[in-house]
Amino acid sequence: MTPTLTRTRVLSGVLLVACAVAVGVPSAAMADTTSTVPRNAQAKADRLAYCHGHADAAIQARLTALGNDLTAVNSAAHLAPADKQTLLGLISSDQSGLTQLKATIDATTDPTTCHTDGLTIVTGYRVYVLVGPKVRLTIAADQIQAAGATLQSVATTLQNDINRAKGNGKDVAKAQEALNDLNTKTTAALSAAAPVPGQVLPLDPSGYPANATTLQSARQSLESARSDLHAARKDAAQVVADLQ
Amino acid sequence: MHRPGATRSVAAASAMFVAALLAGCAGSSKAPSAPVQVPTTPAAAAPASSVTSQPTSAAAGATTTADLATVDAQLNSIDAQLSAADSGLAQQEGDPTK
Repeated sequence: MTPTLTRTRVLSGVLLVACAVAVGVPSAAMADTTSTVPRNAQAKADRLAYCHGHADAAIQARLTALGNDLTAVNSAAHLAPADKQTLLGLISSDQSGLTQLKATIDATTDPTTCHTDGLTIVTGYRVYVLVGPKVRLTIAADQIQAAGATLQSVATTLQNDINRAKGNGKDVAKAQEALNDLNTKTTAALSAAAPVPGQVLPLDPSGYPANATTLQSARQSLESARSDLHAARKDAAQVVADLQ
Repeated sequence: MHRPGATRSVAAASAMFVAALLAGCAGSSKAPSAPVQVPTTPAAAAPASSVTSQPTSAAAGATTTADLATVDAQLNSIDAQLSAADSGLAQQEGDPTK
């Protein structure tokens, strides 16, 4: 062998060892940290208990959230009857489903099954990211309808006041301008909020997260409606001030 | 005994009394010289109008104030509901078993 060939072989051997070390050490480390398979019965029992504990806590937290949603629905003074019925049905169904799921998970003796069932606590219900927003957005939309109707009643009264003041020779140009804006803003708010219950109530956990965009869009519509109602409220105050 | 002068005075007084009596009876049978005036002028109608319009305006003002208070309460409730919705929309649901 030539000296050059010998050096090449030695170098190759060194590189081979280096690669083996470089690849082998991390592989061993990963095997230690990512292994989820219990090596004995105690480890399996620990893993099951851990899963049960977390799953039960997750279900209880969601049942509490659903209880809050139920209180919100029952406390909503202006919730449309059909919307209320839909929301009460949804909440009741989810409460029953999660309670049943808890019993199923508690009865599970296999950690992997516990984990698989536990995932449905989220994917089967979407209590926080879907049910809650559906409840709140629907209540808000119906409240906007009620507030808009009240403002329209106020507008009628204020128009009569303006007409009376005008008949008495008062300059009512500014008051009339504010009242016109009140009417415009109120109409816009009602139009923006009206479709929201119909948009969000049919949303299903199986469609999440794709249907989250519908929630966001509905939220933006209600923000616009909310802003318009606040502006209309200021207009009403302006009319009253102008007529004094 | 009456004196003749005294007799004339009594007779004159009686005649005047009767005359006055007759004149009174004649006057009572006459129609009133002028009819009783009933105030029907616009000046009388104007105060009546203002009396009725002021309570109406006050009632409307009270209604407006009450309605605006209702609107304020509704707006507060709407704000609270939207804030609660935002809390949900901002959440990320991870693995509940970990």
